[in-house]
Amino acid sequence: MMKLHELLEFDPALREWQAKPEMNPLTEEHALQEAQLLEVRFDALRLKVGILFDLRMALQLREATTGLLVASGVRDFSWSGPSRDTAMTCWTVDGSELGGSSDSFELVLGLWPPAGELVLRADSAAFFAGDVSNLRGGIDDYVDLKQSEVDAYLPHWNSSFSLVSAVFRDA
Amino acid sequence: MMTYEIPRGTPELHPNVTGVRIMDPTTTGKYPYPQGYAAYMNKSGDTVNPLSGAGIDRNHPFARLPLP
Repeated sequence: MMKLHELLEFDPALREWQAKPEMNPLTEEHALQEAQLLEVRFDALRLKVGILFDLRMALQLREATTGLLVASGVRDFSWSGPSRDTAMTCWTVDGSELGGSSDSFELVLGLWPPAGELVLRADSAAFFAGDVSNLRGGIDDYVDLKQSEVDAYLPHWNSSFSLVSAVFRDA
Repeated sequence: MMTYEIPRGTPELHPNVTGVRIMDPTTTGKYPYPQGYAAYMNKSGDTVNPLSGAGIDRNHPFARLPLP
């Protein structure tokens, strides 16, 4: 069992992890469809980005509750989206498009509510899927969720995490 | 993808339902929707049951309504 944030500095031995997710978000377009974007952590010192997803509504990734994409050698990262009049927003991936070339990884997430977009370009990337322990189910929606309840219902960086599958993409 | 706002007071739909997404066909992966699907949303963007207005499990038949 590890903490999710520890995967930002993942052990190279994890590259030998045999189990793969049902679809590979690093090589197959729209593998992240209907996943929920929760949080992004940008480490400017080491040029790393971690993107945290709740997979409980994901269309194709159903073997784990939580996903974490870790990009290294970040060259470009941007977020754009509309202003919101709700305290919290459920950003749902409606499309995950891949680009880049032989020496880079590029991901564009189109998000609902409309016009949300996250763009990432990096030298390499890894995607980890797994389960967060003691994650409460039965969340109705974000309309009535209190800030103090968020950690109980949603994966976060300090969540204890059991790895289920992992994939890697290098330059 | 197309999105439509649901007018308040629309018959048969719960008042919490504020919009519907019409998703493009999905033909890859283990869970294809060859004609696309519809998903109802509340004001925070959560996928909801259109009749109860409550959050919904991924496997509930109303979570993603296949298009004919």
